[in-house]
Amino acid sequence: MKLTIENISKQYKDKIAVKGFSAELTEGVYALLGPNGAGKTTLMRMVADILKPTAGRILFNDKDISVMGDQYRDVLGYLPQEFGLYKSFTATRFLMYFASLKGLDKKEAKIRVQEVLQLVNLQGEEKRKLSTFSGGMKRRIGIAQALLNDPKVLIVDEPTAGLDPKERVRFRNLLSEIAADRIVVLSTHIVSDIEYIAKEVLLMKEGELIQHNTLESLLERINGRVWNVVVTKEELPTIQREYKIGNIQRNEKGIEIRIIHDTKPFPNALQVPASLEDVYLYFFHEEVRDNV
Amino acid sequence: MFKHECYKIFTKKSIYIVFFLIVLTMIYANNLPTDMIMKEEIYEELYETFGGPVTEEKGKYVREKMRESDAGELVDEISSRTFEDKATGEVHFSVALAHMIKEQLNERKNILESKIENSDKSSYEYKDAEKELTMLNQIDNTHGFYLIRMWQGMFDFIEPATTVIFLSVLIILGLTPVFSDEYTKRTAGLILATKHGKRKIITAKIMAAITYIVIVITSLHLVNGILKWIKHGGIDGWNAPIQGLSGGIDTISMMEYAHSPYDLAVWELYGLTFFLQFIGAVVIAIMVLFVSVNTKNSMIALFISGAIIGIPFMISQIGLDRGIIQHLANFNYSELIKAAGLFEEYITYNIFGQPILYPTLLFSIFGIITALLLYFTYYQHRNYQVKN
Ligand SMILES: Nc1ncnc2c1ncn2[C@@H]1O[C@H](COP(=O)(O)OP(=O)(O)OP(=O)(O)O)[C@@H](O)[C@H]1O
Ligand SMILES: [Mg+2]
Repeated sequence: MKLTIENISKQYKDKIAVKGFSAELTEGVYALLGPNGAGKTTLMRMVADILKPTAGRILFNDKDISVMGDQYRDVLGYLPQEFGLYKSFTATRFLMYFASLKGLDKKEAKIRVQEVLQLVNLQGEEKRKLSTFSGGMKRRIGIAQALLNDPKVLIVDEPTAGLDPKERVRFRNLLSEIAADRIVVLSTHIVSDIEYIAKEVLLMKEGELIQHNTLESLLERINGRVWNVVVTKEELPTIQREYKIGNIQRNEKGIEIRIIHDTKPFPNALQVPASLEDVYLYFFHEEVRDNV
Repeated sequence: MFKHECYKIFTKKSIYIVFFLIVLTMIYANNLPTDMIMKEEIYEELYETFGGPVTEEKGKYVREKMRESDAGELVDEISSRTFEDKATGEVHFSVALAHMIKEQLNERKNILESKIENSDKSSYEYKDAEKELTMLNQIDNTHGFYLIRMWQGMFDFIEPATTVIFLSVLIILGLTPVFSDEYTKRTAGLILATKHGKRKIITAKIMAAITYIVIVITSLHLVNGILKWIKHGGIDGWNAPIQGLSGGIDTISMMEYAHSPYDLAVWELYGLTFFLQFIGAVVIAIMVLFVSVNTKNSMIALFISGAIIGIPFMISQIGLDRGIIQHLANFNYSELIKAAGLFEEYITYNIFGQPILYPTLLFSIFGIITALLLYFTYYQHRNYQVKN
């Protein structure tokens, strides 16, 4: 099974949101990382067949998805970053409705609805109106909906936004369980979500794919460039201006900061093992700094 | 899918509120006084004597009687007349009117016959005259006095204009959100990514819209039927020719079938009205769905579809219908559900040299428009781009 993204671009009136993006995906979890406005959502919409690319094409098992149409969407599960729900529907009705949209017959649907409710831990809430759901519960019903047809291609756009830590762990486990025999593309800003489950990481910047690699090799690339150092409050502003700074932690010794730098920045700096968060900082430092 | 699409339409509270208000208006209008309700026994007696197709004898007799009473009125006070006198007078008048119309009909037939004789067989005038004559020959023995009860008010909800308003308000209110809500409320992104979310869902939505319309029309007719039944007491007259419907005398509606060239019984016209109103409402529904699929805001969709129905309707109501605008007044969405007017007169249009009856042409034109709108509705939704 493979999903080929072939030189995809999307141009809005005055903005190129995705620029010549190419990648070949097989079974496993792909993490799509990038700062706000990088084009992740736009790319995922095109993969979900709800937005037409300006150029390029997407192939599923070598067949163009725009030609496959229903056939492709039959194996697709999609959770948008932002979506609405029918306020007057109960959770069960909502899922039964989507089951019918996905072509499940009624008997099948009833069983499957119970299963996905269980998967997102919403059993017991199924009789409640969706208008009474909290943000996290809405996200979970969205995830449940995406899983209904047991999709071969699962596209989830910031699925963990708004989930509490317990549910996040639950979702992460769910993904790693089901990813063995399907293609999962996941976008997130919460790097720890994908740290252990991502097969490959796709880094996006201004619409372009700037890195496509396994987590290990990305870590490899910046290994030896991550430093821990304790500084004083007075030193902090200048350091922040000059270096790529990660975590800042106050402790009894002073202010402990994480610096990503090719060479040892300070004599008292200690080299530490790199994490995915450092990878993110390394590639997107400008954006991070601008956002502070 | 269909079931849930219905659920979406029927869980809108506004339609129930509006329906309730419409029913209240209908009840109110039903209790407004009208000139004459043929409920009392006296009418049955009169029907024994005068009922059925008007004959020369009956015609002469009532004319004589009316002349007498006209002369008498100069002497007697009108207020001193008994109810029986009044009823008898009204029936006499009806019979006399029928007699007169029958005479007009014969005159018309003579004109048509001479037209046919004097015109070229292949000309449009010839074809048109022949068509009209054929129709008129079939209604030879229809004009007269008939005891028609609840049917009198069954062709309109109150009157033609209110019929249009009630139906279109319910259709627009119920159906404009069908697509536009999916786009505004951001459920489109979920739907369009599913297997059936681009095509089958539209069929389900259209079926749900039709179901809604069946329920709206049936319940309005039911309410209206009950009200009329209470008011007129009974279903007599169902088999009478439509030329015997007395417009404006015992209903608020000013329908006028005395000059109708159509050979139809009252129940047939009712069935036809009901059916065509349903078809018309479905045609409007498709238009509303088309507007809905093209707007990302239910309020705007509401105004646009309201304007599409309302502007030509207003033009014909105000009476600005002259010249080209007249065609707009005759061929617009409101005429489809008005039902009244379709069968009142002989109206034909010259289509490639063939005389085509107005109802046939009206429904054919909108049949074509609807087919196109349907196609574009499918096309638009299928190609909807989720951009926000
Ligand atoms: N409908 C639109 N019209 C014009 N520009 C758009 C439209 N939608 C998105 N954009 C632009 O395209 C770019 C990519 O947006 P996109 O939503 O794909 O980013 P993202 O990576 O998902 O960001 P985030 O992390 O905030 O979700 C942004 O610059 C955005 O302003
Ligand atoms: Mg996004």
